[in-house]
Amino acid sequence: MYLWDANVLRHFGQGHPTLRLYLLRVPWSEVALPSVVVAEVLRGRCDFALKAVPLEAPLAHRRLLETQEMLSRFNIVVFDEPCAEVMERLRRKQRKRERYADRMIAATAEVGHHVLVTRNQTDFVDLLPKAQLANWIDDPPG
Amino acid sequence: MKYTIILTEKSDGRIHVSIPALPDCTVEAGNRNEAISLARQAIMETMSRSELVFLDVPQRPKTAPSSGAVPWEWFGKARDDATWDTLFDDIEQRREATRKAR
Repeated sequence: MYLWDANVLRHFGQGHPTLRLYLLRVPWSEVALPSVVVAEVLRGRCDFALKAVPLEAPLAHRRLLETQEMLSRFNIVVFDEPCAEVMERLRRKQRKRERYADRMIAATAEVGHHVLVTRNQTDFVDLLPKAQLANWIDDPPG
Repeated sequence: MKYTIILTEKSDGRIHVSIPALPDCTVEAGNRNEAISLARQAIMETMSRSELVFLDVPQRPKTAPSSGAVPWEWFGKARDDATWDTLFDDIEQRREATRKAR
């Protein structure tokens, strides 16, 4: 499957033209979000809803529910026990850096043999083989 | 070991016995007592030739389901939503904070 990083979801919401070309070619059943990204996005929306000033709160709560509805249209690959084992191995490899979300996403991709679609490949080159990385925002489909 | 058996009276008055746990094992008899007795014998006979193996099959959590088509109604939906950019800027900032060497 093609596992989307958060920055690809961002461009999905913005209607990026190159991403659209990929979506016309790749079956939707092959596209998924790692549960880590779902958690990050919902955390952001929840924080906004819970911390907004009263005048902004109605908008924040609407956005939370809209985002939840949008996410429900995606396949989601769950971070499970095998992912946790791989993540721990990656941590030992990268002792000096925490990089919690990066390692969680890389572990999810490694365990499921998924291709990670991200605009920030530099953050993953030491965690995943190059063949498991793709950029659907800057590299148009061939 | 207990087995559930189903006794069904046929139109000719005979009793048909089926055993849900052993679908290939059925008997028929002229009355209820005989049916139960024959079922007991059939189960014992079948089990004497059978081995029970309990398989523990681990299941990988599957992906949550989504409908088959690209949800185009959401594609570009956040174009005019300023909070969308803020949301992803915050995610990137949080990640960046953990990327710095400790």
